[in-house]
Amino acid sequence: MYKSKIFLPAAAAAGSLVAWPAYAHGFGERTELPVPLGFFLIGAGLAVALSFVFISVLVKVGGEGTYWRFNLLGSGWSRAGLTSPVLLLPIKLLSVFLTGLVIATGYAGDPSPVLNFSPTFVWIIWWVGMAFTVALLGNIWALVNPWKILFGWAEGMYQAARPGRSLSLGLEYPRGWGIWPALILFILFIWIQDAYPKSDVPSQVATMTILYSVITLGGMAVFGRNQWLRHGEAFTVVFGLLSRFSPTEVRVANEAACLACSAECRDLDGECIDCYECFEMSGQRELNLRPYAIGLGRNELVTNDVLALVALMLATVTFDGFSATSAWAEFQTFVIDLFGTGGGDVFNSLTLADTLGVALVPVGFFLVYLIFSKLMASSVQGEVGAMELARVFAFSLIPIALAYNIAHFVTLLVVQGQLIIPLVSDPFGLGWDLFNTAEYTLDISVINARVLWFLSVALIVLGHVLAVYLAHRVAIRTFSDRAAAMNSQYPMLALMVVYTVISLWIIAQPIVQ
Amino acid sequence: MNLKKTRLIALTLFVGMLAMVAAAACGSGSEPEDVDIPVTIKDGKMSPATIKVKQNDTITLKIDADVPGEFHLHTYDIESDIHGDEITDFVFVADATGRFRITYHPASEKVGHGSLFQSEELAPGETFTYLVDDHLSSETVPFHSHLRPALAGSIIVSQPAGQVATAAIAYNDDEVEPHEVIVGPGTVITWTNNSSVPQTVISGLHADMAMDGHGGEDEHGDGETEIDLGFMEVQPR
Repeated sequence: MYKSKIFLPAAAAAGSLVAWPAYAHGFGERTELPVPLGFFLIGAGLAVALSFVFISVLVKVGGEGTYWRFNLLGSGWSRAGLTSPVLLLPIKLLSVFLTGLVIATGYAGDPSPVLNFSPTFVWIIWWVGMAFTVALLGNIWALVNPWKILFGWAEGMYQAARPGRSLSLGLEYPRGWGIWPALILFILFIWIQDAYPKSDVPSQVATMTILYSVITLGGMAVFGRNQWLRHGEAFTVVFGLLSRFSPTEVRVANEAACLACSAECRDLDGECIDCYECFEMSGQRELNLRPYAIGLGRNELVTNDVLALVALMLATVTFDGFSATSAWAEFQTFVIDLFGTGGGDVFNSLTLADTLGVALVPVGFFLVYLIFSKLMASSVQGEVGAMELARVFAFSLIPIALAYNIAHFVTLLVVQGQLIIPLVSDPFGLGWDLFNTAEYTLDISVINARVLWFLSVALIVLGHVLAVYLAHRVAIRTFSDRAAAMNSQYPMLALMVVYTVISLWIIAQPIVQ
Repeated sequence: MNLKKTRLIALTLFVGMLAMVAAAACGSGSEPEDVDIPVTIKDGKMSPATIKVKQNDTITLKIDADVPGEFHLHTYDIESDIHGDEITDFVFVADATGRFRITYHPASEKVGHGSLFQSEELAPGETFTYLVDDHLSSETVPFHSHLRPALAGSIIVSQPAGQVATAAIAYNDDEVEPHEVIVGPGTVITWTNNSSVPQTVISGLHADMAMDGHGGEDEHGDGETEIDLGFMEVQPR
């Protein structure tokens, strides 16, 4: 059973010295050992057991919105340090420089993905690394977003030259659009990651960066910087969502300042949390430490577009792992048998199979979620509608997805991510050695399989526990009495157990790519 | 009530974590060993399809392949040429755990530049001989003189049991005579330099050279077949 035919497009693109084939799934080769059955069973068993124990204990837990916080800007020296331009300006300059470097190396550097700075930087360091960072530390994307920085600089210069005028056309952003523009751009990004066969070709990475820059700067120019960031800049929206899990938040303490910026900044409790537009304008700023995951349980309006984004994110992290299993390889073979092997490098049957996955897995995911929402609605005799329940509980599934995401990508980040060490010394592949690291060879034994298994299972179980807790808080807030709240949680719990077990199952699969 | 259940949770968590820690910690504890593993590659398939070894063992794969080619253990990034006619040892220390892809680049799938034969410089009147390998059956092997690339031809290898046991090819000043020979495996081909200048005989097309680069490790030129053989699983000890 030759698979070589299937992999030819990717293999041909990878004409490389190090000879690592780069795959359609973004970039990089996976080397994780499947989690052994024992770990899988312990993880699944723990998830089920803890769920049932939890549900009875949680009876006592309230749904109030307050939680422990510590303001990092509270004391003079830490405020001076954290907000100092001496610290912030170099970070901003570096971010803009790196964006330029991705474009420059993409076009002018070595065409091989592993000898060029741009694919490793974009797919592993930035995309995987940034997702980890915003979830585990805080939303640094709000600080380093190069398009936000560039537009801010341009705006500043324009206003200096022509006082009183704004660089942006300042058109009213159509309310009905919501975050759909960001969602559509994110779907395209996911398609490139999971289905586009040339996602690792440096010049393609550069072209994509330019296209996205044009869209983003254009959107800001038409609707204003903050409007576009909140609704149209896919990564601001996605990283913003992930950073709700993080142990840091920005908050505007003063209600008047909060009222001065857009209504979308305030949640249903009237608080301005993680709204950077308000944060920049206000005098009473807080940068708080908070418990992990609590930011996902806030009392706020979840609209259909946000629900769609959450469903898409949950589905796509699962699909990225699932697409490397033999079950998916069989589906690919099926599609290839059906449509033949012709069609060239890009529009072939393999791309079609992966495109179907990117399109249909989120739809399937969403339908399953809706079914469970219906079950929840009927378990409380329709006190709240199924769609409304689907919206309010959407965020509570994120910890499971996040835990799975970390388990799935950590090896890629710490092993293949090391490629960036030689690449920073020789970003163009021209034989430079700027930082004396060009000769660095990867330490592929940096993470032991046993440690990884333990970490993966522990993370996924922990994610499950946090998800159950969050859903419970939402239930207490949503339903009139505790009995209804508890009843609503059984279908939700079943869904979470299913999702957790699927995540565990995928990490127990032999990877075929 | 609440306290009791909190304890129950803590206990469940504790037992579960303990079980995992135990599973994580209880390696066999045995010392690394030297392990020989016979591996066969036939019709593009490897047996066993997944080679399972323990971390830190020194592994010697005894590779018996039906066609010569290059055996590539990914991520460890070790490549080794495998002979088609004898068992080749592939030795490495399995220091990193994981599941690593193994691919094979059969030499006969594409006759690379100089991959089959390559003569010394032949002065006028000198000869070079090459025995057509069994594995080349139904292949077409191009050859040329590297000093005068215009002098080129091809060897068409028929199915086994060809009629001719020897074949002669002559380099003249402006042509190869004959520029195409049809031979069976096992045939001995003799090139004679009848031209007035030095020549060489080298397998492959002159054009391949640009594609392959100048030696080095770059064996992955466009169009080269890469067969997925299977995986090397290095389990933690």
